[in-house]
Parts: sequence; C-alpha cells; structure tokens
Amino acid sequence: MKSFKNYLLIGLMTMSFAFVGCSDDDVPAAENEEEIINSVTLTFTPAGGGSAIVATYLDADGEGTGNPVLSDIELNTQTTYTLNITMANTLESPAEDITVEVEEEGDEHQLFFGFSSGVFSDPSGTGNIGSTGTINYTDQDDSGNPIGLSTTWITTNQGSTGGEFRVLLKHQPDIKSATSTSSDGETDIDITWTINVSE
Amino acid sequence: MMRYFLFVSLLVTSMSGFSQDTPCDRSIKGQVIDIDTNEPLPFATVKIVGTSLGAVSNEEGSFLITGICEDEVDLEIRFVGYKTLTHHHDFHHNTPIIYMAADETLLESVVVEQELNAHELKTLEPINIKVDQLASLGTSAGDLFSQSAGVSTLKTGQNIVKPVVHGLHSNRVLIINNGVRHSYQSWGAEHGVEIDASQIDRIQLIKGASTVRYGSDALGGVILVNAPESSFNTKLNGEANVGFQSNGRSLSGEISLNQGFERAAWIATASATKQGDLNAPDYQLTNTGKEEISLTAGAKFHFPIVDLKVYVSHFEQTLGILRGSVSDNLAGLAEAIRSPIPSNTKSFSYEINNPRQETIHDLLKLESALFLGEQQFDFQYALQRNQRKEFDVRRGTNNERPAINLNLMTHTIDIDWDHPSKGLLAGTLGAQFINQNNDNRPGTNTIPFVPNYNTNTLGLFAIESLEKESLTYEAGIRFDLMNMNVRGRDSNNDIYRDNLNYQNFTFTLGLLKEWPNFSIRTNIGTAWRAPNINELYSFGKHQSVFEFGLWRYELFPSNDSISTQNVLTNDDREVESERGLKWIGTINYHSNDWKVEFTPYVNWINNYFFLRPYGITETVRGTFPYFIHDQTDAIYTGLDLNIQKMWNESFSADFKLAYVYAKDRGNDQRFVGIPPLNIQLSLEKRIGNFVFEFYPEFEASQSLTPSVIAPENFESNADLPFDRSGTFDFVDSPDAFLLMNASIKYTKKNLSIKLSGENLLNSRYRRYTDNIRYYADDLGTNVGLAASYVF
Repeated sequence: MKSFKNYLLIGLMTMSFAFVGCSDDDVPAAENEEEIINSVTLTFTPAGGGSAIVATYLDADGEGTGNPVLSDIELNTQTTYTLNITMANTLESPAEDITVEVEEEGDEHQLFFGFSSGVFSDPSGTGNIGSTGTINYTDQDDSGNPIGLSTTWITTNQGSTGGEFRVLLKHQPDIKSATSTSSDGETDIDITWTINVSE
Repeated sequence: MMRYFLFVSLLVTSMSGFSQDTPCDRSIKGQVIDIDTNEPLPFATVKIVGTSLGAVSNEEGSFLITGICEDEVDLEIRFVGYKTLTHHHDFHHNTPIIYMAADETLLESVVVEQELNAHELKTLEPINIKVDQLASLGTSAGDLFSQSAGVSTLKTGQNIVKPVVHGLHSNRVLIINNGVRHSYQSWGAEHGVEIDASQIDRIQLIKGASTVRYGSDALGGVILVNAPESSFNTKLNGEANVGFQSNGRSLSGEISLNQGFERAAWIATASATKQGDLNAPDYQLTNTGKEEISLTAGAKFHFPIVDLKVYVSHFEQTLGILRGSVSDNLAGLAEAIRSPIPSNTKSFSYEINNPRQETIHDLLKLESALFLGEQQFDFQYALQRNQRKEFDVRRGTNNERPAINLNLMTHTIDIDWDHPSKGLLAGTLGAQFINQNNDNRPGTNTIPFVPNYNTNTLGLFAIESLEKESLTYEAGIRFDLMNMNVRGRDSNNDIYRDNLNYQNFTFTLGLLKEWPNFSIRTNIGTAWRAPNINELYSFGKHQSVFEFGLWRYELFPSNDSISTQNVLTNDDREVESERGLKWIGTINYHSNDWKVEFTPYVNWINNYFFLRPYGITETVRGTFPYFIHDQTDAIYTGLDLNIQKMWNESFSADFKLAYVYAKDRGNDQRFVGIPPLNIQLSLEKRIGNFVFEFYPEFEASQSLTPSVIAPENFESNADLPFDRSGTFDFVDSPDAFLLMNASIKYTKKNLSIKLSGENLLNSRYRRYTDNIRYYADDLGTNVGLAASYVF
C-alpha cells in the first residue's frame, strides 16, 4: 500500500511538471495593510502652559483576537485644553500615519465625541454622538465643515473619576455636510477611554 | 497528448483492415422521445434513406431496423405534427436517441448519440430539466437548478445564488459545466456559480453521493449543466431572445446561430443583461444592479470512429450587493437589523457601487470519443480561468481597489473507458487529473484573506453494473490522491508555507428493480472533500464577521484563552478530510395520467467543517464577534416528493415537496440556514396557442434553529452570552410565506411570447436561506415579458 501510494505521488508530480508554468511557487506580494488603524493617541495640551497629557490606544495584533491596551485620560479641573488626535497603523513598517490621510480627505471625515456629563463645562452636555450637543472644533475642511483632529475643552470645577470619553471617526464620502451626524457613513474608529478629572 | 493521437491513428489503421465485405447483418436500435415532455413517442416512422428498410417505434419509443448492408446510412424520422429529421448514422456509434420537436414549438428535433457523462450511475435517479429559454433570460443559474424538489438556493440577495442539494451547498455540491468539473472560488457562501443562465439548455440533477463518478466534493449531489448542442444536417438557423423585467428594470438579450453539415456542425451564442436596483414591496434595494456578458462557440465533428468537440465560453459579471447590508461593528449591525428601511436607500439607479463583485469565467474544452465496436474511449481536456474581484466599502481611494483579487487557473483531464460487456456485466473505468493554481493578485492593500496555492489531484475509478432481467446491481470504487502546496502571508506580512497530502477511497453500491409501471432504486455511497483553503487559513474580516481558519488560532483551555499569533501545521492540529455516507432511495410510479416520485435520504457526515462563534474582539472600529472554523459530526436527512397528474392533453398539475432535517451530532445543536419545508404547485392549461400556468410557492418557517442572540445583547469586554460549543443566529427565522406566480405563453410559428408575474400580491417576505434577510425584505412584484424568435 505504501509503495503504491509513492508511485502515485511520483506520477502525480510528473504530471504536474508537464504543465510548465502552472506549478509555480509564488508567494503573495506583501501588501500594505491600509485597512487597519491600530494606534490612536489623544494629546491634551493645557492652554496656560504645562506638560501635555497623553492617552493612548494600541491594538498590537490588529485583526487578531488580542484585545487592545488603553491608558486613562487624567485631566485637571478648571483647565482649558487643546486636544489633538493622531492615528497610525503600526502593523506596517515603518508605521503609517493615518492622520495625514484623514486631514487630506477632510471633506469625507468627521470626528464625533461623547463624554460623561459633568466632566466638561464647555462643551457642556454629553457630546454629539447620537445627541445634539456641540463640540468646539478648531479645524475645518475645504467646505468649511469641522473635521475634529483639533478641538478645545474646558473641564468643570468638580473632580470626577471613572467617566467615559468616546471618540468616533466617521467616513462620510459624498455624505458629509453641515447637517450630517454621527449616524451617517462608516465607522473608522470607535474607542471609549476612561477619563478622570482631579484638582 | 501526442501519444494519444498515435494510439488513435494506429487503431484507425488496424480497424480499416477488417471493415470490408460486410454482409447485410447490421442493425440499428434507437429510441424516439418528445423533446418537450421527455416522454417516449410511439408510432414514429424511422426509414433508411434510399432503401426500403424501416421501422415504427413501439410503446417505449424504441425501434429496431435489421438487415442493413452499409457501414453508414441516413436515417429519416417522421411523426405527424412533429418536425421531420434526418440523421447520418454509422455503426461505430451508440444507440441514437431521437428527440422530436412538435411543429408548434420553437425547438428543433435533434439526435443525441453519446450523452455527455453518459456513464452515470444507474441506481441514482437523474432528474432531467429542459430549460425554457424564455424563463432563463436575466435570471441566475442557481435559480434554474431549484426547479426540482430537494434543490433549493442559498442567496446573498437576488444576484448571488448558489444551489443547495438536500441542505448542502458550496464545496459540498459539485457542478459539472458542459462535462467539465466547474472551477471557481466555490468556498464562499457569497460566491455565485459564475455560469450564464441563458446558456443553459439542459440540467441534470443527481442527488446521491456520486463522488465515485465525479470526484471529491459531491457530498450533497451533482448538478450537470449543458449548453445547447449544435445539430448536424441543418441549414444556417438561429434564435433571438429578448426579455424585460419590471423589478430592476432589466433588459436581456440573447442570440444564437447554428449550422450543421453531414460531418460537422457549429453553434455560437452571445447574450447580455443589464439590471438596475431591485425593489422590495415597500422600498428600493439600493445597489442591487447587475451586468452580465457571455459569449460561447462550439464545433463538433462526426467521423466513423471518432467524434471531436471543441467548446469555448467567456462569461463576465458585475454584481451589486445591497448597500444597507454593510455594517461597521456590532452596534452598526444592530442598527441595520432594526431599521425598517435599509440604510443608504436611494432612488432607482443602474449604477453599481461598493460592495460589488466582478468575476470572469473562461472555459476551453477539447473532447473526443472513440468508438470501437463494443467499447468506447472518451478523452477530455479543459482549461478554465476564473478571476474574482470583491470590492468592499473601504476608506478613501481603497474603494477603487478590490479587497479580494484572486486568479484561479484549472486544467482538467478526464479519460473514460467503457469496456466491452462481459456477459451481463458492463462498466466504465476512468482517470481524472486536475491541476489548480490559485494566485492572489497584488494591489489589494490588505493582507490576502486566503493564501496562494496549487493543487494536483489524481482520481481513478471503476463502476460496474450487472443487469439481470428487471434487476440492475451496481458497484463502484474510486481512489483520489491530492497534493496541495500553500504559500501565504501572516498578519505581520511574514511568509508561511505548507505542503499537504490527502487521499481517500470512496465506494458506491446500488440496486435498481423495475416493474412495468414501477421502479425502486436504492444506493449507498461515500463522498469526501479536503478542507477548503479558507477553512484552514482564513484570517480576519470577511464581509461583516471576523473568522479564523483551523490553522490560524490556538486554544488554551487552561486559562480559557485564544491566540491568533501563529500559523499552525497539521502536526499542531490534525485536520482530516470531511467524509460523508449517503443513502438515497427513489420510488417511481407512472401510469397514463399519474407520475409519482418519492425520494428519502440520509447523509451521515463526519469531520463536518463549520464556523462557530468563539468570542468578542475589540478593534479600533468597535466590537465584533469572531468565529473559528472547526469540525464536528453532522446528519442531514429528509425527503423529496414529486407528483404529476395529467387530466387530459391540455390540463396538468405538478406538486413538489421538500423537507430537510439537519443536526450537529457532535454538539447536539442546530445549524443556521437549513432550508425549511418548501411546497411548489404548478397548474398548466393549454388553450389553442396559449399556455396558462399558475405556480404558487409556500415555504414554512424554520423551527429547528440555533438560539438567537440579538447584536445589542453583546457587550464589549463581556463574556459571550451563549454556549460556545454550537452556533447562534442574530435574528429569528423569518415567517412562513405564500407567493402567487402566474404566466401566459403564446406560441405561433416562429414566435413565442411569455408574460409572467411573480409575487403578484406584492407580499412582504424573507427567505431563511438568503443572507440579506437580516437587512431587507425579498423582492416585490415582478412582471416579465420575454419573446423568442426562431429563424
């Protein structure tokens, strides 16, 4: 039986070699994994000077089953912050900066924010994800609509712990307008951080 | 190849030595059949032109002419009210089967000498369907297959349709296209069959495990699809068909030309379809248009000992998928299921955006049959090229790039030998060789979902049957050897390779007992298939789920964790071929006005591949459930029933019922997507040149379903809200439905016109076996108008 199998295998191999050019050994080309954003960084810079507060998100295995690692946002009360958001794909080497792409395609992208009430005095409320709150956007696309890579925030005078801060990046090709909302288009990013505000 | 031709020419030379001085002891046996009804035609006259010899067909349509002196003769077949036919016959060929077409039909009378795949198993009842050219315009091939009880469809909307035989589909149903094992990316449930419906003339369904005859993958059954054949001895003729359908505002056209000489004939066809957005009763189904173009050409040559055939076809499709079926994450999926109208619904358009699929299927086939008295050799070579591009909804300029871009080249060689009968014993020995090369084409900007691979498969089989009076015993055995070479890239773009070997023995055993009005068939057979490439290696997001192939995950029961870091091999996790054992029986009863066919079956499958939910993963886009490929044991059992009643020449009824019961034996669970009980009725009345048909369809609600967990009940960072061993569904199975359909057909001389209406009551319904059921209703009323002109 064993030798019969071997003869057949040899026969099979011979026949396959007869198909010249069909039995290749090519490996798929290395593709730049542009689908994935796996690293997002929030940088809160206090208006009055002082060191910036950084919160990160990193999903080291991208589409694998491993869960991401987040660091908490630690702000001070009654402070005005400028928030800058950067995002990257670190699965590629060198890492690809997705922020540039979002900026260039500003008329197709918008960031939306949601947060626990009582964390910020301006904007007040709970943000503009699924509700009608306003956000203090400080950047614009070519049509004059906000993008959200840069925003300003003022914390309340009350300290709080364990609040939520959610960032939602929507891709809205041909949809984005002055009236488009967080429920339009596709989700590129949807991350919720824990936010703590202390004296 | 060269050696084969040498062999042929040697035989031809040696044959010519003893073909002289023939005494007048030749005879012709044949059968006359009505092409429309497939019933035998008694009292047809068969004459040998230029002689006084002739015969009249008997009750079974059979005739016998004896005392012929010549090697080659012209047969003339006549029957009142039918189109007269001349056929050039020689004695090396098989029994001619003459299909007569009535004067008032558009069909031509034809002779079939050597049926494609004629060496089928006798103890498995084949179901023959002659496709109505007016019904096939603009539809999907998958829908044409489901005209028989026991064959249903698995859909992703109206455009992507796969046949389901006794509950099994994709790599468990084998499609033989024009005699060639059809090669496409069959592993995906959302990959259509890539055969042009308008090019299908005849369909043959074999619902038993006929792996022995056709090779691996035929666990559920085999579907043989044949294009129209050219006929000899016909002047240049043709057919033009045009069709319009209100739902989708589609327009289809088809033209075919045929010319036949004494020893050569050719046929060429071209067809095209353009369809816009379809609509459900209450809303438009945005992005469900399609475009199809198909071209075919065939030629055949008929010599005393050898028949040669060449066939080429090209088919390209662009298929839109409902825009509202795309969701980003679990929250989006919950929203898509909840919303009364699918998201992104727009007004009617012919535009096809993402998500969409673009496929091309090309076929070149060379076939020869060698007739040597009592024996016959068949040799066939086929080349298939299949391209598949899938465009997903992606970020920015990536929308113009396909997310999946595969090129599959397949060479197949089939050699069959019908050996001379030894007493009561007759049989076929055969060999099959398949070489496949699947390549990812670069430029997708995403790591390939499946790796590159090459497979070489060799199959050897023998089928013998013994006919003793009304009893036929049949037995067959097959050995398959498969080698698969895999090269892929993991999520870090690092290369992995593997070389895999599979081998399997399969057998079939059957019995056929015939009485005058009654026959019983029983057959038991095994079938197997090697794991699909995606079942071993898939990694990441495909459509809106994350899935991991058997060799892309590791489970650690000690701390209940999973890792997808490494690419495994068979040493790490042994993956065996899926193996099925199917018993099928058919009881046939026919009298002058009744025809009953009852088919029970049991399919016992071990190492059954399936996808099971395992956990929830957080990605930057939100929360997703993920699925792992695994193996279990399964059973599929059920019955098909078909009853036909003819009250008189002009009034008849056809009743079809199909029921499947399936279970995951390993986990004592249900599977998703098992076809529910389906009943179809057709009442047909002929009045003059008109044929009226009323054909309602009823489908029950599937009650044997796994548990339901709505997407909103999943929480991030939480445990799965269900038992991992089996599976689950996001929504409950849809309600039962009853659809009203009717048509009127008018035929006069060369022209035939058909007006049809489907879902006449504009009922809201969803099919359990349509993946779009989560998001939208099925189609509303459709009115079709089609015309056919023969010239």
